[in-house]
Amino acid sequence: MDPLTLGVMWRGMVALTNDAGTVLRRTAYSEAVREGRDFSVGLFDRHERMIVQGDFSPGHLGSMPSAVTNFLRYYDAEDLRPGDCLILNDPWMGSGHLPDFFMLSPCFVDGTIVGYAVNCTHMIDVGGAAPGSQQVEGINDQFQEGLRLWPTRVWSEGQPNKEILRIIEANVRVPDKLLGDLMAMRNCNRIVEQRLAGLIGKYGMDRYDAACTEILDRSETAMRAAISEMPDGTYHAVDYFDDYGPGTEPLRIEVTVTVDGSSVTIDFTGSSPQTRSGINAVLTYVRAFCYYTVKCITSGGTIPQNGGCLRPINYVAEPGSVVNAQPPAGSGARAIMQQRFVDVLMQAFSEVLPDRVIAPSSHWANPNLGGFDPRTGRRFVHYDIIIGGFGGRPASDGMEAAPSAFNIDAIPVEVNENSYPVRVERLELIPDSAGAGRNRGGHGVRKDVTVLGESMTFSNLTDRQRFAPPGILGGEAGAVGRTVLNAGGADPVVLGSKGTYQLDHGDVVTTWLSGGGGYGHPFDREVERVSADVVAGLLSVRKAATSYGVVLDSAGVVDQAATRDLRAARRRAQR
Amino acid sequence: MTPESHEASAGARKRYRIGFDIGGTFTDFALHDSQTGELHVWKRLSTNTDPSVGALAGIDDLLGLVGGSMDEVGQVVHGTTIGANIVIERKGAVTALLVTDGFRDLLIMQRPARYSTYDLWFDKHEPLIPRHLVVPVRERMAYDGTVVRELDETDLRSSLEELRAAGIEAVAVSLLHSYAANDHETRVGKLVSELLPEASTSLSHEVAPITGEYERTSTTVVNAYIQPAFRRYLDSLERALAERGFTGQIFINQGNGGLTTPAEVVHLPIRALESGPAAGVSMAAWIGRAHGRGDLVAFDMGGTTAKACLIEDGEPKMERVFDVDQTLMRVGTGLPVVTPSVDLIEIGAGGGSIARVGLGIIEVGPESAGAEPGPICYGRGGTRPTVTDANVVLGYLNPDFFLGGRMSLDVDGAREAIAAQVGAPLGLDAGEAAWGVHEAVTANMEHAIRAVSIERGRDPRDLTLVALGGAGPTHAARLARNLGIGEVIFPAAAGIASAVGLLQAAPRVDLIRTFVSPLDEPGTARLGSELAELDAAVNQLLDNVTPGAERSITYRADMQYAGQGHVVEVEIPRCPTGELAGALRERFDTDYAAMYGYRYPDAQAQITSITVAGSAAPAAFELPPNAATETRGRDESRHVYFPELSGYVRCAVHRRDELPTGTQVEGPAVIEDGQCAILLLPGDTATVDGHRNVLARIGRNSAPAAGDPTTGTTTGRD
Repeated sequence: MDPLTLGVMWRGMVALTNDAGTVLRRTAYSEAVREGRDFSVGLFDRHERMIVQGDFSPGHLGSMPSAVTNFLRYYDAEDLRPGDCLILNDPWMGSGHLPDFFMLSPCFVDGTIVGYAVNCTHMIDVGGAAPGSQQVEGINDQFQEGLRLWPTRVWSEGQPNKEILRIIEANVRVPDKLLGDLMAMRNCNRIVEQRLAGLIGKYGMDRYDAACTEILDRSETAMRAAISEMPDGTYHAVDYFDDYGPGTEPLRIEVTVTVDGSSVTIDFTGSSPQTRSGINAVLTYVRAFCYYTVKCITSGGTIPQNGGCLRPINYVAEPGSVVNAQPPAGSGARAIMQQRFVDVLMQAFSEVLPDRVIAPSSHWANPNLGGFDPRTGRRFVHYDIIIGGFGGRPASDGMEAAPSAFNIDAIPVEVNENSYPVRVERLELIPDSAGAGRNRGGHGVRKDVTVLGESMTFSNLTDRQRFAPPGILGGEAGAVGRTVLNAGGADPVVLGSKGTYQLDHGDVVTTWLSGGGGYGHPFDREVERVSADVVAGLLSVRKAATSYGVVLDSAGVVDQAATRDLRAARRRAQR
Repeated sequence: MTPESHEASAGARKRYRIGFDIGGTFTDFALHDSQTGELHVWKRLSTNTDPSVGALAGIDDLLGLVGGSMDEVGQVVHGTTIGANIVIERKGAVTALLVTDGFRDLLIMQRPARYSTYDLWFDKHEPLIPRHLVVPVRERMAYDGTVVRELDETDLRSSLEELRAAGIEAVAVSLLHSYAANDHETRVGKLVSELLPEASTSLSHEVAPITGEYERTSTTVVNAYIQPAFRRYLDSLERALAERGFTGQIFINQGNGGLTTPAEVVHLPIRALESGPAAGVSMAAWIGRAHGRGDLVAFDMGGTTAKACLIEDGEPKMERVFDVDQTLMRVGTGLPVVTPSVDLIEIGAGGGSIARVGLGIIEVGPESAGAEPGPICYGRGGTRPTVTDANVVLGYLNPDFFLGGRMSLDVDGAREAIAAQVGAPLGLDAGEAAWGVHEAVTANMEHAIRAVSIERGRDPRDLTLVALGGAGPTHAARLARNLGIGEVIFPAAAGIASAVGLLQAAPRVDLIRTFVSPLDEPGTARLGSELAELDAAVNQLLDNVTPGAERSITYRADMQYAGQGHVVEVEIPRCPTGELAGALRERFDTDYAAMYGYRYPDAQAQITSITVAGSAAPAAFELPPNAATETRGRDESRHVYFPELSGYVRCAVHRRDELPTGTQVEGPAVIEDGQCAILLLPGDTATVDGHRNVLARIGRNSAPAAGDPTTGTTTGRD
């Protein structure tokens, strides 16, 4: 195919999925979509191949193709009509937990199907045990986690199926948001349909078909070329989740990566068995973050996202393990697992690609608070997002207050206080929490939230309160996090990172996130950079000495001779 | 009020008006002679250490050229990016920030979102204020303006005492929920003035009274940080002009495209952070009005970037936030500044943008060869092929008439590099490869313009494109054709549109305020009183700039369906309070459906913020008449590449200043002037008007070229 036409068509298809995503985000109701950006948009050809996925949530990367296959197992393509919208949220058909709704709309040109518009959107609540549908403790199986839909036609030739919508409405806590988001999903697919029809109208079916094949093949080739640059070999790492609910044992995540020529196999054998809780991952979800990591450390953003790029990556995970959970395991809280998949892969690759990896990062918190807002008398679900820093990087410190395993925005404190019965008392970096290293980790973040209403349900969701983010290549671990109720009061209570609690007016929940791990040996860090952190008030004089071997005063003035001596003595002792 | 504003009428009576726009590379000048109607333009290199030096030298050059003197100059209108440059180069004041206790790291943490999901090496921007100069203030307001924690003045006094030794030149104060109740912030401001009297103070509820603590704080910090340097710069400019005998009036262009006085802009310099590009948009709006066209796309393509702005009904679209000091021109990577500004979409697609091959297709930009070393054809050491190189190889640019012949271009060098670096890997010859580069960069712009127009619910096919900038006229016809746009205006002096735009800009004020309310009776009553308050403030500010002048004032509201996060801006109709709610609701529903395809009649609608904008009438200005009487019989042509004609064909080449009024030019053709080259495609028809503007009817695409009206874009702004 001639490169000029291909270039124009490819750019056009990427642009149309991104524009459709903008429409989804702008017309959505839930914070998870509007601010959390927890959605994605894909364009499939009529052979069910994923041609383009917009630059959205990495968590849906591997799952869209399987959702499309499942949709079309239940509905024959010949039975689909323009204006139809099908949805599903079954974890094993989709992306691994009930809040992720997929919607498929057929795209027509001259009465025949030429492709499919697909989007996946995280719903703020789908019913079940706790507000937000992300409870961990007390979940025995998925039937406690909310409404489950197998492929279902909700719009038929443009007309909503009101019976289905009524069933959904009756089974979720904030139906306005969910139904509003369903409409946003429809708005999004409509843009894909219209633009694709325009594109094909202009270039014709033959060129469109040829372009789809070319896009997939070229992307695969590029991905293989990137993988080929990695040294062949087998690399290994183990990391842990603290637990899967109060009073439970740690979960082991073990990975063996084998690079063989132009393909890579990621094998999770050795990981813990699936749990009786809301924390379990289906295979598509794990795959998504394997692909995300490989992409980050090879090509960055230069290789586009589509089915072709997924081809060179193979996965092995034992059925029944926590990384390949089988029905009817609960999985509502699995979003908290993504950071660990990236962390463990980064550690495995650090042996062979030290200049391309980052140290394990701070672990985010995604607690859900629900109940009745005393100001309005209406039910609410507050999906909170707290983000700490990156792990240390080859050429720079970990970025502060940004997620390394996904991409998300947060809602301003002032907006949240307008919308929900909460008051945020503090949102700041935690001094001394960063893992020391030649390039230190980003800091942990502290957030204090006062609850301004009675009988509220708080589902905590975070990790790294027991197993700190480790440093790599000589770096130190970051500080562990914790969650405490009424920390400043007479009677503070430590809360489980995955516990569910009832709170009342005036209760204050304080979250300390872990700090990112350090990269490289702390003694290799320039004294000036250590001093700068002291001046900024982010590093104590004491930790400067113990972790970095730098002797200085609180104004950051370094005693060079004492520092030389201390670093030399400590290096001798370490040998 | 400034002394010079008293002389506005006297200033306007003098013979000359001068507009000058200081850019990163060049300072552009335009002088209008009210006696002869002539327009003189000039260009010289900017002097970056002190931009006023180059500006004054250029004014001297220009007056020398027309034999005029400074005391005949009635007005000087200044467009500037000095504010943005102070931020980008981190050359502002030593600034302290006072924030509510518990939020000290606001400037470091910023927003968590990353501009690219797969780029782990990216960094957030460096805060303008180091952490040790961020001081927590013990106080707290609730979202509704009630006091949660009383301001601890004793503690604040001791914090400020400690700051005295730090040499603080400016202080920003941004307390939580200050937009709802400013009592604490006002008291903090008073204490700052008392204890740090030399420092200038910026209070967030005055600078940006909107909800959203990071954006409001960032805006306040930028204002404080640039204020002292901005004041010094304007003082020295005013002094220097006065020393040269200037007794007229100085106007500063703002980001909203309107003018203000130096005294006003020094108070809130964020309003003029980057005002040059806005003047180009004003120029496009003005030229559209002159031709009876209200719905336009201003398309301005220069050396490193292309900018587009939608103009509806003669009014440029405004954006409330823009970010300064972006990385890779990605929206959201810079420091957010909340101030109503012309809504410019900017992408890395200029003449200097570098072309390369990736994944077997051609990609262009955002990397740019800039002015140094510049494109290969400049012969100044550039080695990587650029858009300008491609345009030379394609015959679109005349190697012997670049900048009116002041610079000759190395066509062979450009051709060899394009053949080797772009053609060879793809199996294309030099012409095909150059065409691929031209097409790829045009497609990037096409997607950007589609974002501007479709995001606003506009079909680009209903718009007229106005081509500006040194490179805009070379790409405009192809771009219009790909977007389905039927008409392009190529204004005279398009190459220095910003400087010319300054001469017809009007004084303007935009005030924005958070106002959250449903569309019920108490809400609309409150709306009325808030609007009246803002209206009075706008009138006062306009009086400071141009006392007693006629003005038009518009009210706008940001609205959303309750529960959604994104807002749609709606004009507030002038009608009795009782009908206001219904009328607003109808406008909102209609606009919403136009943008997103559906309206939600059952959902509640609410207002989130309001803006009042006022503008006075612009100074009288006309482009000089077309002096060409008959075509000088130049029968020039050269080989120019058109894919629809299967490659290079002989193509007519005209000089704009030799085409008399009413001349018709059929594409394919090139029309050159000293600043740019207009390219017309086969099927296009252009007419030259009485002011040397070229108006083109654009033909339709017969074969698929770059893109299609129904494809979209990746550069949308949120």
